[in-house]
Amino acid sequence: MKQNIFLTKLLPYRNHILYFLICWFLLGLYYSDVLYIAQQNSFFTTEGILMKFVTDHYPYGYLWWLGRAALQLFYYPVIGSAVTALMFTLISGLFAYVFRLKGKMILLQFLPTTVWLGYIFYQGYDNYYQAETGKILGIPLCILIILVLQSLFMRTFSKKPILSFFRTEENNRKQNIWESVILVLIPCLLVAWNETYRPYVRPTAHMQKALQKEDWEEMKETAKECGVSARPIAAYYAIALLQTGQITQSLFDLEYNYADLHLHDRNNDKDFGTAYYEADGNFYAGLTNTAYRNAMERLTMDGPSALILKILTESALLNGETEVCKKYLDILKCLPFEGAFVEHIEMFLDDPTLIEKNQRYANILKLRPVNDSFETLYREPLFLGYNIALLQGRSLDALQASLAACLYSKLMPDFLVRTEPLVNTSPLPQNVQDALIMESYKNNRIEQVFQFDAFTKQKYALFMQLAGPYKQNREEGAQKLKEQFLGFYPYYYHFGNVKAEAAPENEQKKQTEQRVN
Amino acid sequence: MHKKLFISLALASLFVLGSCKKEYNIPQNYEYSKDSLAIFPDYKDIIVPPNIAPLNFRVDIQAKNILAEVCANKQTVVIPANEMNEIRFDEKVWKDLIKNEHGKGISIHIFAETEKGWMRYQDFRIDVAPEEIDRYVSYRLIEPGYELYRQMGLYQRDLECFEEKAIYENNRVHDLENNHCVNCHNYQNHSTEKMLFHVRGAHGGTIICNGQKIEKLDMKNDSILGPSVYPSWHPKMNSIAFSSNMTGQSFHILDQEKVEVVDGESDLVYFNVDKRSIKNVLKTKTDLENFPCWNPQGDKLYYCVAHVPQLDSLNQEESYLYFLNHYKEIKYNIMSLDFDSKKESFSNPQLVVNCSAEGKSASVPRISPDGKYLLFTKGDYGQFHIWHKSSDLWVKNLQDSTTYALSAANSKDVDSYHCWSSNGRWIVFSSRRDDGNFTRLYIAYFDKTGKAHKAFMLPQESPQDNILLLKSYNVPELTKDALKCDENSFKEVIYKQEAKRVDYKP
Repeated sequence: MKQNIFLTKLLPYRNHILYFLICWFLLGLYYSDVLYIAQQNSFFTTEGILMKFVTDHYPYGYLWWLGRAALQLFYYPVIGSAVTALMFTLISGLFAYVFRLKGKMILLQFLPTTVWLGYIFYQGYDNYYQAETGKILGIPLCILIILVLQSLFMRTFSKKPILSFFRTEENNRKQNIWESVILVLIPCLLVAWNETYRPYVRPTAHMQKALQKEDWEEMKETAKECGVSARPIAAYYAIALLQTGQITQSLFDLEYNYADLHLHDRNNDKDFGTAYYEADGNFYAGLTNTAYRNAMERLTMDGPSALILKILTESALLNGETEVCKKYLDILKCLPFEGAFVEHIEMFLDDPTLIEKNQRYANILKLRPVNDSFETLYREPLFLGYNIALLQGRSLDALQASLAACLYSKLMPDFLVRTEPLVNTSPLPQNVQDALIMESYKNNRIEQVFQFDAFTKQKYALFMQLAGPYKQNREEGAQKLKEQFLGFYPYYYHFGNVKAEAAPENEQKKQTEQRVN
Repeated sequence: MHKKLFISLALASLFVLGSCKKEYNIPQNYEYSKDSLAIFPDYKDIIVPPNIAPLNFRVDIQAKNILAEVCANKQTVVIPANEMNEIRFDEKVWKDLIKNEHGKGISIHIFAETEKGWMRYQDFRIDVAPEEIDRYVSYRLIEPGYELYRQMGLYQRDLECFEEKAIYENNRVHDLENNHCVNCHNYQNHSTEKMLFHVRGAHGGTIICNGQKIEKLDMKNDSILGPSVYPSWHPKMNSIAFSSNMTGQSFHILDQEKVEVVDGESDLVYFNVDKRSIKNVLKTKTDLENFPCWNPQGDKLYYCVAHVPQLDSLNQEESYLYFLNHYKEIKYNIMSLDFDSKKESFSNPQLVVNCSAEGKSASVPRISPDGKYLLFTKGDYGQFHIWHKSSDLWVKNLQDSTTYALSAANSKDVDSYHCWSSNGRWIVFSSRRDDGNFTRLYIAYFDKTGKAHKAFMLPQESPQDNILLLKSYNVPELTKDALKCDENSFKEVIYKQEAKRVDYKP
C-alpha cells in the first residue's frame, strides 16, 4: 500500500526519472571508465599555488576549476554519474520552465543535455587528451547556474511553480508513450553511434583502469575481445604481456591494422596518439628516465594530473630518487582521492627492499638498460626503438622484449641475431617459433639449430598456400585470413600493420615550435 | 533603551575579544630531547641579511602542538605552529626581532607536545649580518623540463617581504601563432635602469630596456654564429657582451643526470647598444667560448672556453655524434681578455682558471663587485651545470690566486648559476639540493675574509610552497631597485613591434 502511494507520487515525474536513470546508466556504467580516466587526467585541488595555472591563467579559469572539481566525483563513477545525471535532469526541467515548453515541444527540454552527452561521446579521447577537462562538467554546471538564476527570477512574477515543469503532462496517453520511447531510443542511438565511430575509446580506458589495478588478464581479455585495432589498445596490451611474460607468446593475437583515431592535439591537429601511451609504454619497458621525461613534458604542456604525477612518482621511485618521489607524493596528498596510492608508495620509501619484491616493479627493473646512452640514438617511441637496437640486456626478459620489438617492426635480420641465446632451448615462445619457421624457408640453416613442431610447420605451409592470391591485395588478405591465422606471426608479417610500412619511421610529431633555448 | 545598550555592549565585547591575540607561553614542564629536529627549509645556524623577509619554516614531527620560542637580545616571542606544523612570523614581529641583532643573532627553541609530553629539541641560531642584501632578485620560473615550455615568465621578488611581481609572462594559453619563451634576463650594475632579456619563438627578439624606453632587436646576422644568448652588461658603458651558441640537448636513458646540454659551436660577440652594432669578439670553430662576464672596472672580459680540435674536421652531423660519445671530455677553463673602452677592442687572452688540467670544467664566471674574487661553478665536465650533480661553487682570489670550494654553501647535489649582491657580501645561486630535480634559490653570506657560510633557501610565506611549486627557479639576478617598466609595456613591444636589425661592424 505504502509502495503504491510512493509510486503514485513518482509517476507524474516519470519522464525526468527515466531521463535520470538513462543518464546514470550511460555515464555510470557504459561510459564510466572513460570518465574515470578523464578524472585521472583532471587535476583538482584547493591549494591555490597548484591550481594557479588554470585559475589565474586560463580564460574562465575558475569555471574550469569548478568543472574539474565536479569531475573528481568520477573517481567513483557510480557517484559521479548519479550527481551528473541529477544535474542533467535539473537542467532539463529548468530549461522547460524558462522556455515554457509544453505539449509536443516538451521533449525539447532534454535536447541541451542530450546534445552535450552526444558531444562527450563524439570527443572520445579528446575529452581529456591534451584538453581542458574542466569543460566536461564545467559547461553543464555553468548552464545549470544560469538556468537556476533565471528560473528564480521568473518565479518571482510567475504563478507557475518551478517543480510543475518536472511533471509529465497527462493530457495525451499516446504522446506520453512516445515520449518515453524517444527518451529510451536516443541513448540507444548514442551507444550505437559510439560503438560504430569510437569503438576504441572505452576499451582503452578500461585497460588503463585495469592497469592501475594490475589486472593484466583483464587488460589482455579486453584487447582481444573488443574487436578494434588501435595503437593505444595495442600498447596497453603489450604492457600486460610484458608483465605476464607473454610478450613473445601472444603479441600477435591482436590485429595491428590500426583504425584512424579521432584524436587531436592541443593545436587541434590530428594526432597519432603516441603521446597517449608513450609514458606508460616506456615505464613498463624499463625506460624510467624516458617515462619521467614524457610525463614531465605532459606536465609542462598541459599541467599536472593524477596520472602524470603517478608516472613521475613511480619513475622517481625506481630511479632511486627518493626526495623528488616524496615531493610528488606531497602534491598527490593535495588531491581528493589519491591517499591509497600515496600510502602504497610510502611503504616502498620506508623500506626500499620491498621494491624488488614487488612483482610489477621487479618485472620493470629487469628491463632497465644496462648501460647509459642517449635517446636520440634510437627510433621513437623509445620502448620500440631501444629494444630494436638492444644488444645487451639485464635479463632474459629483456631479450624477449627485444625479440618482440624486432618482430613487431618486421626487422627480421635483427630478430635472427637475437635468437642465438635461444638455440637448444625448448619450447620456443610461439611467436618466435612462427617467425623462425618463416625465415627457415629463406635460410635452411635455421632448421638445423632450432627444433620446430610439426603442427606449426604445416600451419605455415597452409598459410603460404592460402595467402598467395592476396599478395597484391593485402587488405583483403588480412580480412579473409584473419579468422584462421590471427596470432600466427607470418599472418602479421604479411598482412599486419601495413600502413606503418609506408609511413615515416618516426610517427611521433616533434614539437619543434616550442623548444627551450 | 536597555535593549539597545545591551546589544551595543555585546557587539563591543565581541569586537574586543576578536581583536585580542591569544598569548602563548612555553610549557612549564618539558624534557630535553637529544634528537635534532628536522625543519624545512633548513634555517638552522645560518647567517641572514638584516633586511630579509621572515624565515617561516615547517617542523617535521608528529605532535599535538608545537611552539617556537624566539629570543633576540631584548625580546622573546612565542609562536605556535599552524595545522601544517608551520612556524610563521608576523612580518613586523620578525623585523623587530632581527633589527639591531647584527653579530648577536636570534635563538630559536622548539617545543613539541608528543605522546611523552612536552619535549624541547636542540636549539638553533639565526645570526644577522651587518650588511644588507640587495632588495630584489629576478628569476625565471619554468618547469625543469627538457625541450618543451608552456606557461613561463620572468619575475621579480622583493626579498624584504613575500611579494613577487611578474616582469613578463608569456602567452598563458597555447597558441601556435603566439607561443614564445623568454630567457637570459640581465641588468647593468644591479640596477634596473638597464635591462635585457631574449624572446624566442613567435615575436622573437632581444628586448632592451633603457630607463623607460623599451625596444626589440634582432641580433642575428650572417657574420654571427647564431642567436645571442648569455649576456653581460658592461658596468659603465652602454654595451653588452654576449655568447652566441648553437645548443643541443640530449637525454640520458639511464643516468640520473637526465639531460646533457652541449654547444656544438659557440663564440663571443660585443654589442654597442647606442650604435646598435654588433661584432665578433672571438669566432673560432675549435674553441667553444661561453659565459662572458665583465669585471667591475669594465676593462676585462672573463669567459669560459673549451678547446675541441676535432671540430675542425667534422661536419655538423659528425660533430653531434662526437659530442654524444665524448661529452665527458669537454672541459671548460676560464680566460680573460683586456678591453680597451675607447677602441672597443679586445686583446691579451689569459688563462685565469685551468679546470681542464685537473679534469674538471668551469662555467658562469662572476667577478665580485670589489674585483677581488672570481666566483664560478665547477663540475666534472661540460658547461650546463644545472644538470650536473657534481657542480659546486668555487672562488678564485684574484689577489693571491688561491682557489677553493665554498664548502659551507655547497651541497651534494647541483649548485650552480650564481650572482653577487652589489656589496659583495651575498651570493644568490641555484641549487637542486632538496630533491635533485627542482631548482630553488639559495642565499649565502660571503664574509670579508672570503669565506662563504651555510646557504639558506629563499623564504616563502608558506614553506609548503617550496614543495608544491612545480617550477624551477632559473638565473637569479640581484638588483637594488624594482623594475620600473610594467608587464604591459613589455607586451606592447613584444607583440606589436618588429624587431630592429642590428648592424655588423667589425
